[in-house]
Amino acid sequence: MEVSELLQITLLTIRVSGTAVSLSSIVGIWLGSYIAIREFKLKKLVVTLVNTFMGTPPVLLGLVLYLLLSRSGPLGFLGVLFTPAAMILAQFLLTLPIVTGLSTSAVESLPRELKEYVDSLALPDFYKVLLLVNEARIGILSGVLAALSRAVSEVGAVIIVGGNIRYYTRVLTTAIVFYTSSGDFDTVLELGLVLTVVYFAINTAVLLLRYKVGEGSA
Amino acid sequence: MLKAVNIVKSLGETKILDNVSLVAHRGEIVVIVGPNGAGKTTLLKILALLTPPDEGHIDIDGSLVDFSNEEDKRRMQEKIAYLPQKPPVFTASVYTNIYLPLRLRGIESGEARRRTEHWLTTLRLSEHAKKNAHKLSGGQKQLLALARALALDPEILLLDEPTSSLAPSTAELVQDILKSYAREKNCYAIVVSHSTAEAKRIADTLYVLVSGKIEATYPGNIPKTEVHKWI
Repeated sequence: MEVSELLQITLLTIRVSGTAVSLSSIVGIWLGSYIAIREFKLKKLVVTLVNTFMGTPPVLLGLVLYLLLSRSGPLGFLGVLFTPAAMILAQFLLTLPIVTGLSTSAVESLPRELKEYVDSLALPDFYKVLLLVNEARIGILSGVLAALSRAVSEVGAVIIVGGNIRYYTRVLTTAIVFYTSSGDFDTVLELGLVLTVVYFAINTAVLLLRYKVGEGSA
Repeated sequence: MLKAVNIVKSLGETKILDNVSLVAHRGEIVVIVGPNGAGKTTLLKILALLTPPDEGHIDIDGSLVDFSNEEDKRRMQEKIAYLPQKPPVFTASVYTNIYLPLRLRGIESGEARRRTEHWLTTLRLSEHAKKNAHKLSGGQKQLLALARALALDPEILLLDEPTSSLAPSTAELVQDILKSYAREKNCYAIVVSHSTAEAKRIADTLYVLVSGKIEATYPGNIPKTEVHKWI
């Protein structure tokens, strides 16, 4: 495999997973914290559902999305099947429950006194969430890391909705599947090494960030 | 007048508060004393509108608090500053810990700065202003939490053992500040305490809570022997 192609695949992997996890973090951190601070009737059911979706098989999600996005499907008019946008959507849906669930846990595990104090300030929910997210940021960041790991390493969903089109929707994991089935194990090992390096770089960056934001925490 | 009327609160089968009534007047300090597990903190949390009573009601200046109405509750809570027993601090500087809640409550930045600096000085925390609040000692954290509560300029001040981690001389300073604050601001002040000396020193009215029931009430001049009897 040429270096330029390998670079293109690597950059697409980072772009798709990075965008998906950024979006799922924006929505999931807010949603998870909101679930943690509010008391409502179906809270336990919602938490159970979120936790269940954390383990959604990527292939199943990919198949459901495929049916929705295919030309005859209800979302076919969007015309995004077999594009990076569909891959981002798939990974967004795959990682959203992870960020949401782990954010809920992180905020819920804050000391009761802190939550009561924030409650007593009579602030709008938006400010309450901001204050509590700031306090739970290390736990939340772990959730984002878990989501990123899941996104970078998953193959089932992106191969179905992306189609593994060369120079367009081929990412590291789908390329590995393709070259494995072609019997080109040298390329597979190269791609595997790059995937490991990418994964290692993400982990290192997040750990450094965790260390940075964790300074001064209790 | 601030009234808690016939408050009942249970946790499972256990009655934590059993028909408790309490009255507070503006400018005066009400102290609630009692042994551990008497229900003092629960009563304070109900007064802070953090938890609803099973029975009974809270009346603030003639308005009944509707615990089921979030908007009404929030409006009432804006009048309250609550200091929990183990005061939490935000992961931020000491200064920000006081300043931020003021800004989030919509207080203009100049006024928020003025109040923050005033209470930092009054409670002798100025030299720690830039320090991360988690690096303070237990007593300093308690002072910080108190500064944060007083800076809100509340109409209702609810303090759960505000001097429990303080050295005796600092505790006396805080007690003096509380007394003059309640008088000057003409606010309601309700303090849960475990200290006989503190109860004697600051209480205008003393309530003795034992096993969820008000066992005795001492308005006015409280005999020290009586206070000792209950703590």
